Amino acid sequence: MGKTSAYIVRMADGSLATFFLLLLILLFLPIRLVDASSPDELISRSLTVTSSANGLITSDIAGNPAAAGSGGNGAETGETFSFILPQTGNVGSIDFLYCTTPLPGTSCTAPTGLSTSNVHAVQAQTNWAGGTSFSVSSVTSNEIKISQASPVNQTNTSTPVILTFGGLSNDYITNPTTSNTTFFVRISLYSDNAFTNEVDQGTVASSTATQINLTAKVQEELAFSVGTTYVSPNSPTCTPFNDAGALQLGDSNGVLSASQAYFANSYFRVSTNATHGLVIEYSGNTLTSGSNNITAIGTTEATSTPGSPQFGLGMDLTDPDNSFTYLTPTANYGLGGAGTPEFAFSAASTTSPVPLATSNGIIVCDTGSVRYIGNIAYSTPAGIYNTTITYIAIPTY
Amino acid sequence: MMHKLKYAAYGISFTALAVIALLSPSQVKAAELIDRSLEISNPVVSAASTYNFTFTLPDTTQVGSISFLFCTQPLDAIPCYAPSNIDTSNATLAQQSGETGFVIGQQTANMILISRTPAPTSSEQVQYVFNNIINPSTTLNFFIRISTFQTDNGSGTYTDFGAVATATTTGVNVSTQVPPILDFCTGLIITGDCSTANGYFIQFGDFNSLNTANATSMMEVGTNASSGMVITVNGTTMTAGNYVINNLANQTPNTIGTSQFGLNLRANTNPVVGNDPIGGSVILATAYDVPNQYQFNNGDIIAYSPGPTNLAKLTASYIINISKSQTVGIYDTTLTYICTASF
Repeated sequence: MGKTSAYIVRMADGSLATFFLLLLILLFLPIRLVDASSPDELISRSLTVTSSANGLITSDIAGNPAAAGSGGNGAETGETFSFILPQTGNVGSIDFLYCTTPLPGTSCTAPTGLSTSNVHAVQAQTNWAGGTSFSVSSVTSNEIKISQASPVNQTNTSTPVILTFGGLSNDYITNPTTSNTTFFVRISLYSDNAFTNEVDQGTVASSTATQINLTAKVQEELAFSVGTTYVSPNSPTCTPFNDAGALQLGDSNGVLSASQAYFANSYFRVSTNATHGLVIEYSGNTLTSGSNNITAIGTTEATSTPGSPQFGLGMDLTDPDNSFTYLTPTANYGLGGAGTPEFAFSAASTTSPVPLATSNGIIVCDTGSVRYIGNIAYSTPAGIYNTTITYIAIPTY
Repeated sequence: MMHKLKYAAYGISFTALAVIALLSPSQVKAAELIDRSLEISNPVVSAASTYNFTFTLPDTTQVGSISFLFCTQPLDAIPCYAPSNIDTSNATLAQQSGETGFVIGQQTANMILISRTPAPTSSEQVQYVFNNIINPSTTLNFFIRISTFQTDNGSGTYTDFGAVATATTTGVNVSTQVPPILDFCTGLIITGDCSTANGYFIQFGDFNSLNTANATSMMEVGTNASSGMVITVNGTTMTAGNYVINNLANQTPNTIGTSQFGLNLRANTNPVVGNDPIGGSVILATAYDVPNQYQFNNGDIIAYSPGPTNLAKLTASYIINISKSQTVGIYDTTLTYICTASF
């Protein structure tokens, strides 16, 4: 009985003690929760970052450098904080603490790779009473502290106040170096300029994100065709020539004369994306009939001379079907007098093709009109004369 | 002891993995071959052609082999389909510069692999020329994928890559005819070609025994007859009914007061009449080629050429003398010049 009584008394004592302890807590807690000196929560808080790329990225997938403060540069970013002050009162200093978790008062782990060490100034401050008087007080790898010499009474509790950091090549914030990583910035406002008396606080969140790299291949392109019957390019199709390439040189029966020159035209059409240009060459022999031939006009441009044996060719820039936008005739092949195509021909082109026209870069769709000349002398033996002229396109990519 | 062995094994494994990772060809970042071009000697379909490749190596990575893969599309990421009937199986490496020492290691209908003992390169322009590649059998644009490899047999992932394009085309077949040409005309005056020939009637006026009547006519001839041509003069001497002025059957000088009708094709001084031939390669018959000597016989060859001749202009000079006994009358004749070409 005595033991039991003693136990009951001890229990009663313990319960009583516990009761008083709980009562004390209940009495104290409401007082703290309504304590006017506790920080108020910043309203409409946001953090706008210039880049969500991780802190290792300074260029795009093609290796093109991204400027500091641009979307593709996660190593040199800028950040803009915006929030509405919840109450009027002095603000003398502000602390921005970068953490992996948001709750103020809990331990802060710096986001991996993040660095605020290169923040040297407040780049913009808007809607603050006192103008632009905040300056960087100190920085660490994950904290920016700004203050002003004398706290200023802030009365604007309706529109957001703005603070901007970094975004320059010599003043920047480096994002966390892991993509798709959320990080938080705990913001604390102090009524004094010594980061002592905290009046407002709030946390904003942001995140790095994996960049989407878009790649596409543009393959080497060359469309080259030769023909003797003109067809429209039908822009932008650049329709190729598609005939057998037969060309009759002479009168309506294909007969040459010792007293009159005869001409005929063939065409080529080319388009390419070769950035280092393209060369059109011709290759072939002069007109031959067995062991006889019509003398090639020569490798230096010359005009037609009826009565003298001549076979030659040249770019016919007077032909309305010739449309050179990107190509230029080579010397001796179309650079003669206005309206009078000059001709040249190298029979050695059979083994050493001769450039006829060139471009320095791409060609959207150029059509070349090649004009042939046939003259004979009385000494030119009768016969059927033929040759095949081939055209070669050589793009350089 | 066992722990030490285990750590040693871990260390060796890690080192091996690191070395593999560093040396594996698949880890080498492929670069693009620079300034690459292809010149083919003959773009005609199915023709045997020479392919001349030039390009610049973008880095100094060692090269042991280079492949040339002929496809209808250039991108390495898509399957290669050989252009129709392209044939590189008998191609030969005719020329190489820049990185050299290559021989053909493998070849198929649409692939050539040249190889050498792997060696570092300079970032330089190289050239490889292949003979006897048979073009595709249709007109088309096609591509050659060029890949460099560190290995000497094209194994592993390529180091550098680039494609070039070319096209087979239809040649322009130029045809024409040179006909048998014989341009021949006569007239009293011919200032240019035969289209300028003008006149056919010579009026000598009144003959007398104290003066030589003379006149000229012209003819022009050009031919591409490979066996040449012959010009004859045809007709009679001057006649008036049954009366005649004697023709000069042989070369004879001008003799006033003697019945004479003759001609030649030279510039004469007795009398001053005529011109030497101009142009061409016509040969005058000896009987009509001596100044101041005249002759006329029906059907005489007056000029010829052994082969083709450009336009030649001939001047026929006529003289007529009469004696005092020449019967009164109106004397005339018609001369016909005939040019016969042998093609």
